[in-house]
Amino acid sequence: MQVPETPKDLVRTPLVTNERSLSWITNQVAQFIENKPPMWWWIALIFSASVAVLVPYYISYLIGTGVGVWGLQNPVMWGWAIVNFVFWIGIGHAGTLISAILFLLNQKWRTSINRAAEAMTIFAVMCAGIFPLIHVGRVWFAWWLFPLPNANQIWPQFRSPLLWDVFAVSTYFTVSLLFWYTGLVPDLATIRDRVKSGLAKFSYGLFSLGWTGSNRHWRNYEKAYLLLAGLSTPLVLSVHSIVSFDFAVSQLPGWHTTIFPPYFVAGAIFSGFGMVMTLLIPLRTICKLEDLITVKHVELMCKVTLATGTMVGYAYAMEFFIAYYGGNPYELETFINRAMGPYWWAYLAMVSCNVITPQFFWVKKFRTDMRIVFILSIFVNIGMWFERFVIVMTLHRDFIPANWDYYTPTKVDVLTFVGTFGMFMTLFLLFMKFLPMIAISEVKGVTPQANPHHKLGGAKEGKH
Amino acid sequence: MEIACTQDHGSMEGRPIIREANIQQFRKHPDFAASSMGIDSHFPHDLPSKVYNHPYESYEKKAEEKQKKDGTTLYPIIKSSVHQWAMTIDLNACTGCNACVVSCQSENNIPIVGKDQVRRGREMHWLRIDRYFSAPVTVPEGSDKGKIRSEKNLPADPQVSVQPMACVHCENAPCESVCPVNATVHDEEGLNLMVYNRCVGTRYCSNNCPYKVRRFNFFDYNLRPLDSLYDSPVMLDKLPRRPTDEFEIAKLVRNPDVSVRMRGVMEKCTYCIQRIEGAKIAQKIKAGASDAVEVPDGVVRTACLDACPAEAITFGNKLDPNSAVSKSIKNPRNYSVLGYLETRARTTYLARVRNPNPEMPDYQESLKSPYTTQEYFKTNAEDPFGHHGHHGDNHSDHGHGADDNHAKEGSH
Ligand code: SF4
Repeated sequence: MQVPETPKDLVRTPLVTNERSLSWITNQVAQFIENKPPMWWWIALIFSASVAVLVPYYISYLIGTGVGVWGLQNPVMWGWAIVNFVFWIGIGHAGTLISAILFLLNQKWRTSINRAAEAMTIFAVMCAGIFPLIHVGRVWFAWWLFPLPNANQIWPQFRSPLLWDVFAVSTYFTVSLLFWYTGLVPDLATIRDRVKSGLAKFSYGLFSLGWTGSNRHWRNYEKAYLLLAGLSTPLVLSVHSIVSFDFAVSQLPGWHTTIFPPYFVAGAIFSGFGMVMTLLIPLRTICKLEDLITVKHVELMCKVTLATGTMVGYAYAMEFFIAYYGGNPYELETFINRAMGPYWWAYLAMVSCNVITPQFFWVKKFRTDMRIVFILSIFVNIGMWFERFVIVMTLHRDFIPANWDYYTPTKVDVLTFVGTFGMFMTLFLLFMKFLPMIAISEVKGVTPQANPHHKLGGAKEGKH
Repeated sequence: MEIACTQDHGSMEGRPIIREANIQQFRKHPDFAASSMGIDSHFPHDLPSKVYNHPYESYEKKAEEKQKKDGTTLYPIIKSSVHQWAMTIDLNACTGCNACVVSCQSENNIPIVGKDQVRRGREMHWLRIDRYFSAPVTVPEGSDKGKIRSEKNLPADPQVSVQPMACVHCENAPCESVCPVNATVHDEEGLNLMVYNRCVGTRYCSNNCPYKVRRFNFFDYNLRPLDSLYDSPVMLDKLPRRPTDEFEIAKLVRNPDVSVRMRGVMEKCTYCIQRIEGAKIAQKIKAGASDAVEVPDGVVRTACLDACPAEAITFGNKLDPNSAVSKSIKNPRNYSVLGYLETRARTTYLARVRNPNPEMPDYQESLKSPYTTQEYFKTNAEDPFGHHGHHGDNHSDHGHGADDNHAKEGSH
């Protein structure tokens, strides 16, 4: 009798290609910190820093003059500031999703992108945080939104979604920062051990908290990391749900819908992954990290983008259907007006960028062609900005036609937003220079040779 | 050329904002406005109070129960005050003359912002006159609704309908629940208050106000001359302020009973709270030790009411069944704008009745229905005066759901 042949093991594509050794990984990531920064880095830094100057410049003008320098007007009391706030907060979603949720789900491919994505999250949340603060009419009283004891004995109002926002965003920022920092500790120690100059050694030493890589350190570290991942997971979902409440809790047709929280979360992940791809695709080429951020990584991100983009498309369709099916004429008119009213171009941009763009990712050829992915990811970013614009512009035509008007942004609106891009890029470039862009220790754990059964792996003699 | 205009859109889009009928229709259905137009006309009349409790009711009940049970309560018992203010505006009497708007402006120290700001949509009027044009629907018969919607297609021979609109002092005010700092709150006399000192200017209240009657101080309109609103104090050697002597003169224009608002603060109709308080204080002095603190009807006259030559505005204490406003509320023509939102507006409107002149060339056309009503009929595919249209009697007897005929109409 013939014994059937054992079926062959399906081999997983390795997450670090070209059988790179562990020391190669360390060297490759650390070299950017150790060597003099290249010319392009200086040019990029000077350029983005000069764009970033627009932010303090226009904020001081705004605060010195009044929010009237923006294009706001009677029915449209929230304009670009809120659009930009939601846009940046949405981008800030991918980082924590990648590092927390994918960690809990044991998705090993997250290791080579999580560091950069988390940095992006923190910088995006910083950009986002500017807007709600400066958009209030009397900035110097913005601290009234915090439940601080005061002589007036007035609490903030806990029924207001804006207050929930304050808590949600500040919690999210704090936890993301802690999570990012915890993950950085072992890598900071690696850098500390490698840098030469005294000041650098001192600073990296200070922030690596005396890490020696002992068994005990690793145990504590991994526990802390797991706990923080558990803490941040609900936050990923809650922050954008709460941001969506700013709209959903009001009674405006087109805002007052229960679909908003899930739809906003899907959109946030969608835009976050779009931005991660926009940043990492050039970065992997420029910094020669193709063996760590492989085509497979990009492909997987494309798939997440496809899934969330399609969810967003479903939400668009469902909103329309419910507006019709719900039988409220005001609601229906709002949606017809979104698609066919004065802002039809924004609606068109939103639908084509967010629904059509990700559909290209069904095709493997597109997912694996870095140039195409890069271009499509930019469309995702544009589309998600327009989505927020369309939502906020719902204000321009509501219940009573006598109030209807048309909102146009001013130079100050536009340039402040442009300035936040400069700020974001400046922070990201500094991050590239001073911190390990890739989680060195984590990537080492997912190399093929980290598996004891691998031909190069395990504690075999001479194999290190 | 761009004209500075406070209202950009001319059509009511078939919405039941101003409700009108012809005299013949009115005779048949005197309560047409509340019972056969708008989504709220489809509510069974006894339902809303069961679905939503009035915030004060549950609060008071809780407090009373608690006190009965254990003798004490942490809930302060809010005794409904002796006054509950309310206003009605008779659209039949209103001619849209704008006297109330001007009166309100000068009474309440409302800044004058100039045509550039108005062009940007930043007029500050607390009280405004909404003006709509409407055309007979038979003209674009066969064409689509877009005909009515387009602003470019203003009818050649329109009917005009006007409506004064200010804060309607909702009992369930949507603006209040969204303010993160408690700057807009309700008082026990039913006024929606705006606490300028507490306002940080998130402008969320305005977004959530269905009537969009809140006005925001985008600049220091009182402090700066209008031509230097946009000047940054950082970039100039001299502060963009009114010269002191000019400012001193401008001060004389102000009503000393009303605060002047700085930039970054929201404002809106207060029902002339300074006049209400003045009347209450005077009454208290008169009452002395006695209980007669209730301000007699007709003593509180809001600025708009004072100025109205047509006496379209009635204001007073709703708790007093004999007050002019209570009587006016009982008028069958009385209705709430956007009543279906259950904001429970304190300002309600008396629907307009047209009496077309047989001598006019468009008599035959206007005889059918006022044009706004025709538009409403067209947009909502229901005729308020048609066979199925008049709901009033059905709803008071049994709910909407029980009535198969009505459930099938479906499109409202
Ligand atoms: S009309 Fe607007 S401002 Fe006035 S109470 Fe109602 S929601 Fe508030």
